[in-house]
Amino acid sequence: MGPTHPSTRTTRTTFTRKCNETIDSFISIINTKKQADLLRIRNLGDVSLEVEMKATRDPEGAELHHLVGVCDLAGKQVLEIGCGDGKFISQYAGLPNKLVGIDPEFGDLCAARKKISAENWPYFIDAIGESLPFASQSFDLVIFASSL
Amino acid sequence: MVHALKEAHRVLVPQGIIVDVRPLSVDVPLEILYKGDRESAGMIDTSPDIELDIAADNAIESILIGRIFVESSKEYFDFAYYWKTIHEMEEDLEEFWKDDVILPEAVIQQAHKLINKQRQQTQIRVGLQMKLGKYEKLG
Repeated sequence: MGPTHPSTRTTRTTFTRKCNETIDSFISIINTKKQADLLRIRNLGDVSLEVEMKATRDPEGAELHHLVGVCDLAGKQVLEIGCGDGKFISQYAGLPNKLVGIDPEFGDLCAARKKISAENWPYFIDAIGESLPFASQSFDLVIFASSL
Repeated sequence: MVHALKEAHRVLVPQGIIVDVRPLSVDVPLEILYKGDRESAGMIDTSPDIELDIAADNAIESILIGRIFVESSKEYFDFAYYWKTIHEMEEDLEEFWKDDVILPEAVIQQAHKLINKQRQQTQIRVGLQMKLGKYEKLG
C-alpha cells in the first residue's frame, strides 16, 4: 500500500470514527464469522486489486432511473447481492438509511469502496446470496443486480 | 438461484421487496455514433449466457408459483456501454465478457471501416436490453 495522501487522511479518520460509532448497532444482525470480514473490508485503505473497465457505463443513468422509478429507497434498509466492484451500488449509495453490499470477490469489494465517498459508504461483506449472514427480517429491499 | 431468493425472503421484512435487474441474452447491435447520427456495424451475439438467463427466469418463476413472492412490476430498458476506440472495447470484452459474448470478425472489420471515416465525436456503443422485475414478499 502506498502512502496515504494528506487530503484523504482526515476523511478516512472521520469515516473510521463514524463507522465505529454506528457499526455496533448494525453488527448485531451479522453472525460472528462475518464480523471479521466486515472489519477487514472496513480497514482496507487504498488497496484495489481489480482492473477497471475502459468503457463509460450507462451514462444515461437508465439502470438507476428505473430502480428509483419502482422503489423508494429513502429511509430504507437495503441489501445488494452481488454488488461486484460497485458500479451500481455506488450510484444510489446516498439514498437508503442503511446499505449493505455483498459479493464473494474480496477484490471487487475493495474496488467498490473506492467508488463511493466516505459519508455514503455502505457496509461491504464478502458473502454469497445462498447463505446470507444476516438475521431474519433485516431489510426492506434486496437487489439482485445482474446476480441471479 | 432459488436458494438465494429464499434467503432474500428470509432477510426481508413482511411486504419487503426484491428487485431483479439484469441484461437479457438477446443479440445487440454494435453501433458507431458520430455527431448527430449512428450506424450499425452488425450484431453482437450474447447467446453464451442464454442458459443462465433461463435459469434465472425459472428461479423467479418458482418463487412465484411457491407463493413466497408476488410480481409487482416488470419493465425493460436499454442500457449502454460506450468506448472511444475499438481497441479499448476489445480489451474490455476480453477482460470482462470473454465467455459471455461473441463478437464476429466481420462486425469488428465493419466497425473499423466506420471508425476510419473520421467523423466528429465518434464513439462506439453497445446497447444491452435490461429487464427489471420487482417482487413483493408474501407470508
